Amino acid sequence: MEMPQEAELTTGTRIEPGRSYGFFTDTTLCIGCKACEVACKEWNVLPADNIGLTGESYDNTGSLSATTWRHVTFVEQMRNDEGERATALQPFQSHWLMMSDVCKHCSPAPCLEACPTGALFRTEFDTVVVQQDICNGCGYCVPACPFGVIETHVPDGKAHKCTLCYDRLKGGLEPACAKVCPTDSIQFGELAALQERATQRVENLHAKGREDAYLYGVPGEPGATGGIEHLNAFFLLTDRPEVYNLPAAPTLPSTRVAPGMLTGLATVAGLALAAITIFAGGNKTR
Amino acid sequence: MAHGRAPYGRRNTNDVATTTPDRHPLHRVYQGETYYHRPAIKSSHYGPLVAGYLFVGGLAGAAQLIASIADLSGRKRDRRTVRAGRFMAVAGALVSPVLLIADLHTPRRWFNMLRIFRRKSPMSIGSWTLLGFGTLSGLTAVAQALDDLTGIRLFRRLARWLGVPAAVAGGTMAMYTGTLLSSTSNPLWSSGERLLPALFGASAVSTATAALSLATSREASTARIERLHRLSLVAAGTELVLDWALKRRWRQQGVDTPLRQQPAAAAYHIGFWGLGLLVPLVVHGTSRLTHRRSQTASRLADLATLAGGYMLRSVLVSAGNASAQYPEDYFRVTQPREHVAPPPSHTPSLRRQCQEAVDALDGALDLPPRQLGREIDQVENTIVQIRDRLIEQLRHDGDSSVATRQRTALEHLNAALSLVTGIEYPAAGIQRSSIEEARDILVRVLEDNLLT
Repeated sequence: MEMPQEAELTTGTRIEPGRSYGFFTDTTLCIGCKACEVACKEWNVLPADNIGLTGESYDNTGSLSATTWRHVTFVEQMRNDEGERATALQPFQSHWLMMSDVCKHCSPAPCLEACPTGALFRTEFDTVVVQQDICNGCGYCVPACPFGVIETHVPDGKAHKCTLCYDRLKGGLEPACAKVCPTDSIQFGELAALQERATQRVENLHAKGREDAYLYGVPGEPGATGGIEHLNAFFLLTDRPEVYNLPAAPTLPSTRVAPGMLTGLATVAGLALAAITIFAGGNKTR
Repeated sequence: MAHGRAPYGRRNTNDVATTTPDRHPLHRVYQGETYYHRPAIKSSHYGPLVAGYLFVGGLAGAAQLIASIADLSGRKRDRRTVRAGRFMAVAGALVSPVLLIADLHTPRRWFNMLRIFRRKSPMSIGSWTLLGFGTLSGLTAVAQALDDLTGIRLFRRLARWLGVPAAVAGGTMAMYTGTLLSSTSNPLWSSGERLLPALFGASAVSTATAALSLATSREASTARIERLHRLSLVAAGTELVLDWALKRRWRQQGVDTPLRQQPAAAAYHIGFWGLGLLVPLVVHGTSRLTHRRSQTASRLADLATLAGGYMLRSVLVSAGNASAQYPEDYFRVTQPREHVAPPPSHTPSLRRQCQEAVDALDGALDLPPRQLGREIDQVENTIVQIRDRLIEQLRHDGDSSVATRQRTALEHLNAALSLVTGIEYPAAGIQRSSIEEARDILVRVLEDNLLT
């Protein structure tokens, strides 16, 4: 008999190599407690930086970085359904938008495709991880990421981002942020099951009158565009993606390589032809 | 996925939404919302080392290409160009890795670049191209040097044959760096998907011809130098066209914000366009038309070309890094194709925005309190925008008499903002006098000429 994994008890999923795992972050359940940020920092032994107030609602973290792999965003919206100044609070959830941002573990992943050393690779759980003993800090993954997730850490000279708790997955435990989330806003599981659950959730919300709910990062929806087929860590949002600091239709940068190389080569070839004409032409005296 | 909604990515805009709820936020056109103006993507760490490599690598690659073309066109008359090109290529091929390795955050692991070849990564393509180019250029240069020392024909032929693959690698070196920049998510760079590699290629050729003509212009044969300058003209003309197309594309996409600010604007227009393109075009063009050549003018034109070539790359790197900090620019270029983003209006002046706020408050005075929501919201946003821009300007200007006026304006704006916020979140009902007072403060800001 197989030893039960802790993940089976906490999420109902057994973690097996060869399957796709990810996050479904349902922002309508987020209460903005930031337990995910704390758990992530604790498990991964990340330094406590971003000390200070930003004045941007309760978001004093600011953004994802090399040492911050979960970041809760806060947007205080006080309008009613017609977009006018509210004179009473909503009966169902306030308009405050709170989302726990994380590495999207895209498929295909722009950072992975940009990496020249092969440090970024796809694990057996279909997540994207930076191998710290290979990365030489060239920093090309940083501008490649369409969500501004990965960053190089200057003191240690390598690139860092969320690993989807690769070490925990190997041990049969769900990621730290998903485990600690008190409202199950962050749900960990097999990707197909999560997508099904998320679709059902969107339908439920629409039935309740919350018709602005949609999924971000599933095939055919915002976030999974331009060559990015899907995001292993996808979201349920209730306003435009830009409000949460996400692009509506990001593109896979590697789709620009072939057209660029061809046009560049054509230009150089054209100038080479001009050069041949110039150097071969003229009077025939040697 | 079966969920009954028309899939977003394949939505036919002619369809009336049946099962698609019309409250879907993506059915509203993007209006410029951001998350507290925070950047949505990250800048690269690239700086002078990488800009230096873009310049040196391109020049070296193009020099090898020109050397081989001059050699294979079969004339002894261009032998000096051929020799100079080959040695310049190997010199550049030796300097390039030094610059790149110094730029790595963990330089001792530079060889990990050669662990794999990833055809989708321009950096991987470039690492292997540099390796190939360096090896082939080195061998070509050795053969060339042996030919110079011994005069044995075998070495000359060896140099010629080795020069061909070296030239192919050189041609790749000349333009792949444009693809390196454009194959990212950076709004300024990614907009130049095809134009940036083409421009870098043309710039590499023009800087190589300038360097070759400077390096070999001591001896008498002006016809040989003339050929180099003719190529320089063609390359500069190509650059002119490509630059025009690129600037137009940036304007259309609305991502040229960093290039409209100083010092990037001066560096780009005066440094690159003026020195790097206009000067050589005028000097070499005039000498070709009038058949009179001033050696000093030609030398200065060549130096200007080199300066302009470096300026182009330096400005593009720093302006690109700056463009990553503008979330509006990034969001503008990441809109779905079905929804055409509203054309980016060039930001109105601060005075104009202030006047807009005054007009909106005037309008608000005529409305009953229940309908004030949108107007007040708009005024609040406008004042916050003016305030943010003022703060940015103050950070830039610091001292000067303009700054004093701006600081006074800032104080007034903060006062107006407090009043307006009090109207938006009324603690004890909306006071009409608050609206009037806010309006008066803004009018005073305009009348005292505190804003530009």
